[in-house]
Amino acid sequence: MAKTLKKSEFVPKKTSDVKQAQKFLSLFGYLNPQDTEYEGVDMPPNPESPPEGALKSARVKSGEIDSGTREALMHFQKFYGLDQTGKLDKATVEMMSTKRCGMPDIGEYVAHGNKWNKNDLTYGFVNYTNDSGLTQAQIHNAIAQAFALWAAETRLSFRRVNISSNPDIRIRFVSGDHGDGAPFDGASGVLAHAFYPPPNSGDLAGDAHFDEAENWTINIPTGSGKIDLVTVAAHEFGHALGLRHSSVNGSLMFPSYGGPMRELHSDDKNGITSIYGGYSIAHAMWTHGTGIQIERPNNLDNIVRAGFYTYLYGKANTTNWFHFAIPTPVIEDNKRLKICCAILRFRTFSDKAIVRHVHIYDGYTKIASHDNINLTGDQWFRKYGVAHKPYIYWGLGISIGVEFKTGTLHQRRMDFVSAGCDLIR
Amino acid sequence: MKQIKLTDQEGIIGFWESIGKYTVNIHLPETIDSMLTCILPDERMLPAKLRKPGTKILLTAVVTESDPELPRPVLGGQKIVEVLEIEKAEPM
Repeated sequence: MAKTLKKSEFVPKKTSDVKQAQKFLSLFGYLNPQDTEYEGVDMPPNPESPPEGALKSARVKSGEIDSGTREALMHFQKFYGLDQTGKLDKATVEMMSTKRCGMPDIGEYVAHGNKWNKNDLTYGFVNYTNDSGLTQAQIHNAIAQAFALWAAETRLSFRRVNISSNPDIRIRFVSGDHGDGAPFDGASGVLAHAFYPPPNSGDLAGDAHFDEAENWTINIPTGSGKIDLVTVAAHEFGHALGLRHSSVNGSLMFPSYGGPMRELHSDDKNGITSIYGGYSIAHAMWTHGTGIQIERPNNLDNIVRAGFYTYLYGKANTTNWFHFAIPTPVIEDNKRLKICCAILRFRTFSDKAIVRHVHIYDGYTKIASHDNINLTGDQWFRKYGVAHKPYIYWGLGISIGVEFKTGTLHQRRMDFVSAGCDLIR
Repeated sequence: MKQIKLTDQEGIIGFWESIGKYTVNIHLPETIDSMLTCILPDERMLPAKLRKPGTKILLTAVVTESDPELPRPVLGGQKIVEVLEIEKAEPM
């Protein structure tokens, strides 16, 4: 229950101070980072809300002590034994300013303590596996996809270089004793391991080793006895960036392998941003769902471009690609911008319409592939990172590969609401 | 000093070069990379024939994590302990 403050206890706060407090509350788990993701802009409305509901303000308004922020403040105050005023009073502000260690109060990720002292990291391959007939190109894509998960939430970038360039993170497929003090133990034991960032691990800092005795794949479903390379790689790269295991079941940094996982849990995001911070958006560009282009119109039973979004009904047992062209300011204030991530808002109505792939292009050059993502249901804000965060030149395109299976017309429906991207300097 | 008894644990011999010590690494089942690294302060605690990295053994030993001199984990998922006494170390 909120306590009424005396006038002298209340500390009036500027908008910027409130934003700072919201960031703090988000960092330490009192606010869901997604609620504060839009800097000063309302949270995206749920298209299923009635129109007036869709126009209502977000749960958290950046820079304002709204109901969501008040709730988070009271949570923080309760945790620290302060009066639950729901306001940024003196005692609360003082407590926030002493909380500098970076460890969470809520949320279960754990940071090791070491971190890279730069944001632009390189990686290279010492060797490859040819399990499941994997080619080098496929392995490159899979590893980039794993790095892209972390890139989409932070200012970190990951660029592949030749191993002779002495990259920060060296990737190896090895078995048994491989000279790093921690031999692998054959199939079904340790799947992989990675060294924390410098300095403790010496020359091995950041390196990721995958047990060649395992049977690696990039396909979903993986098949019996096979391990998803993207999922395990993303987990190991979390360690290589300084994360320990999390106790949150369902997070990527949870110790157990529970099958393919191609996205970060909010606990993972909280963990990585607690170490490296988020990124500053130079431009956020969006295009409406009614602008979608269809590669194979003959593979659709119907298409409706409504005010809210585009409804698509795929023919049974077909695949299709849908394309968004994003208006892209490539240069701003005489400086060329870079791409951090693409963002999609869509939904499918059943597992008969499955989003399999998301590819991101700059002009005709593909700059990111997110493959075998197998998404269904409501996806109201789905990020797709570009691991190496390149400069952009010719305009961004997002291509979405969808499979439609046998089912009713409604089951084969999917809606595209909008697509966007975050550009950075 | 808190001591833990490990009984018939499957482990694999390693050699931690930077500290010059043999280790027994015990993987926690059903995990990607969780591992208990047991540092042997004296290599003579291990029979000579087992002092070969990559050798799989069955270990019964008393370990402790209370020694402040223990190195920090270098691998994700790693927990470091020191071996106080080996009751049994048999090749698998």
